[in-house]
Amino acid sequence: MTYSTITQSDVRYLKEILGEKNVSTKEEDLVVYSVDAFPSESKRPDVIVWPESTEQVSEVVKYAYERGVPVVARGAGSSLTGAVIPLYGGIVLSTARMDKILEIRPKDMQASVQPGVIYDRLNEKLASYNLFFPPDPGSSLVCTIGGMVATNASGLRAVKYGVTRDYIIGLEVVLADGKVITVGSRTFKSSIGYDLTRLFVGSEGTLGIFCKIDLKLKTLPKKMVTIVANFDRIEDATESAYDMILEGTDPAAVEFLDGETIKAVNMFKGLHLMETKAMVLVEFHGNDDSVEANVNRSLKILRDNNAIGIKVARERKEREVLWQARKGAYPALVRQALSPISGDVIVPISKLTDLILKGYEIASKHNVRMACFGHVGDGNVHNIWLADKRDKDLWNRANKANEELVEYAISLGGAASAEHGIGLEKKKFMKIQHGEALDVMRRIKTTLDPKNILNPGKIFE
Amino acid sequence: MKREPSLFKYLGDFSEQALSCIRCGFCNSVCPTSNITQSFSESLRSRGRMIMIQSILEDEGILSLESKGLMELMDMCFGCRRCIEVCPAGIRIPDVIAMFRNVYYAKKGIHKMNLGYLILSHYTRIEKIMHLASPLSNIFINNRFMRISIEALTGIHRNSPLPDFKKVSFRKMFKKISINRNDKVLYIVDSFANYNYPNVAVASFVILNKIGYSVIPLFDIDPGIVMLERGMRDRAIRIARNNIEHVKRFIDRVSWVVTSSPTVLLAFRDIYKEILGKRLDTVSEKVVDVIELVSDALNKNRLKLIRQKGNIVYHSSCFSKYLGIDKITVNLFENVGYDVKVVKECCGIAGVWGMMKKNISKSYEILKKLKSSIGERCNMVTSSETCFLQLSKVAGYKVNFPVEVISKVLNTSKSD
Repeated sequence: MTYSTITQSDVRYLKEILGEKNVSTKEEDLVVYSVDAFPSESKRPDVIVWPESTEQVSEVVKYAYERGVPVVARGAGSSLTGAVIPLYGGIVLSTARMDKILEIRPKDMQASVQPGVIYDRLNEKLASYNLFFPPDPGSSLVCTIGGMVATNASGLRAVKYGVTRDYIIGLEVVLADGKVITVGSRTFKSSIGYDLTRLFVGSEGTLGIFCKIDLKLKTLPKKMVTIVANFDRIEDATESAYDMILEGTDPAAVEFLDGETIKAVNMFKGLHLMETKAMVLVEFHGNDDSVEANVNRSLKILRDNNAIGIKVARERKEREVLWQARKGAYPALVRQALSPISGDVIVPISKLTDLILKGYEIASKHNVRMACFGHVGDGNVHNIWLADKRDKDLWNRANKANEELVEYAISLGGAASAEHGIGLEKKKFMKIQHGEALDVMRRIKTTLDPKNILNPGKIFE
Repeated sequence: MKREPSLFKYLGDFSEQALSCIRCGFCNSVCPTSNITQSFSESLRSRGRMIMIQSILEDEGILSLESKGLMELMDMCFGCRRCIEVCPAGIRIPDVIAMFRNVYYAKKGIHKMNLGYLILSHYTRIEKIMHLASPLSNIFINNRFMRISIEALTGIHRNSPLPDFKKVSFRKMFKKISINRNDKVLYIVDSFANYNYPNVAVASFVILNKIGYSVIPLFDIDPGIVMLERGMRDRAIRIARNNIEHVKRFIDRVSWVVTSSPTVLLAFRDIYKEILGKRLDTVSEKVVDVIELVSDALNKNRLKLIRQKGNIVYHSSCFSKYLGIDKITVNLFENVGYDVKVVKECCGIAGVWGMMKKNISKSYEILKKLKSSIGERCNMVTSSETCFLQLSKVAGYKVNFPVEVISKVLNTSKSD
């Protein structure tokens, strides 16, 4: 696909639509918008724009479509897969100035926001209504709602509360030709033809640009209890997680740390966690006595699976102390390598133990240090391959190891990505992941974006 | 575009730190300048600064030290150190940027530095001279015409809260009030406590005496932090070495080296170790804040306080937060019986950064965010000298230092 180059005349026109200060071709801006949190790629855009309204987004995209110039929508730029790197130059459309919470409707348990609203800030605001937006990615400090919708993000609480897609009830979308459509309805369920809302969620900016997002919300739970347990065998840890889910204890989070991660956390945070082969953290949410009943059942399951050093916390400060281990996992491992590669595979929960053990086998085969932690409650593991871009051989081995594990996960009926999305990084797996269905995706893309101007080169070619 | 392959060499260990940035953006979430409406572009934010440095280090050939506007973007970092706490890779981001500035001025010449920064970096020495003519100095600082002229010449904003000089310095007061006991502490009296607001030194003195110490004051110590931050690393290292030598003369005679200034504490406990090496452990281990000694004395029953009632709005200044002194201070106030509302937002002064004309609108926007969290009127407490100036002279609050609050409580109590 060939694209038109941005000219001075284009820049002038964009400045007329958006205002002088909302358009930049400065070198410093072009450099910082050439990357995201994906370590392996950078590509400069030709211009960055900061629209403030749906109308401005529509005008920019319409112009880009007429000119045949690519447009990459960007939120916080915290993508781990290269999803917002402008591979073919063109326009980076930042949603930083579209950061308003438009409306909170507490009686409907809904909110409408612009795409640039930051996740943690939204929940801070919602807390005063005793509401929250549950999917909580690890980048919640900085990630935007628009970015979360684009990647169908999720986090610790997915096992109970689900993922972003489960909470999007409507969208205002600017299509590739600049047309503005509204999809969904302000109801918690409907059966009104093709579910376009769910099509757009997870489309990573390739089918349309979100300008308004209608969210379904949940009530904040009154009661939370956290349990942490250590294990001498990984199999015991994963089996206990599996048993808790199967026996209907309804945990809000089930998290796993392996031995390497525990050691790294102790070193980084100065904690004195038991350095066993594995650790599991479980949390229960609820409003009544069923929470304690679930806690008691889970304690029995943990003991039956040879758990040692079990701790239970009910007060907020105590729970925060226990969660330090899990929240410190990623930072602790990142400090151990210059260019860590983050995996994001997911398998059916009965295959969890196989996945984790396979990870170690592959790491050993390729002679790459690896540690893992993850949301074992839904079968999602994050393998961190401790690589260094400057050591080309190690870098290649680490990438190969990651790829091998992804292929293995897919062979078990799993997926290349649970929550980070495809972006650039996982395009190579799309064929084995989807088979013939990939062609259907391409046809949808071609129909909605015949000139392929919206985030070209992502998800698939 | 001219390339800078040598930047790698000049930044030294800081190159590794910069390259280890994984671009997660967590630093953006806590950086005061990254979260104002003016900073909608990533190049004005913390992560953007790291990406630009990475780009130069990786020799992409787009940006270099010659790039117009680059140093202005780097100036958006004012060294509050909030980012260090959240950075997963453990990068000392403000130190990387300070080193970057150092390399820039080493190559381009100190004359490229904004004159206002140059002056404010040497303010401790200037204050020593200005104090000698304090009534005149106060007229100079507060005269509108003089301030407009200073602004035009140096870039120091006409309304920036430069501190007044008291007629009697703490040094002069101390000659009349010194008490001799066996247990001694070395009290580092920063120039603000000496010349501008001796109340804080007096309060510290009273507290230390009540605990049972006699005080050996050390005057005219410039911690050198502003110099280091603004890119005058060699000068800052010289100052640091001198300061350490001064302190070492007393180290065997005293139980503690005490300060009431978060800047001095940061220098001796953290920064000097980084710039001078780990051999400072014998000094840095002994450096404490007055509040830490109060807390320790209370735990050991060397002090008793009568319980108080009332509300305190405590502004957790950037360095106090970084060093953990804010938590100790809040615990102390709560143990005494106060209801404490903690204000964690930055006040926007950031040492000397918020005094510059080019930064004033951003400084005020940051201050506005703080004010919106507490309202227009209240009595505030803060540990930082420049935060004190911003909150009292610019925001109009009544402000005290923690040692002033504690010394008043002590005055109504008996100790063992």
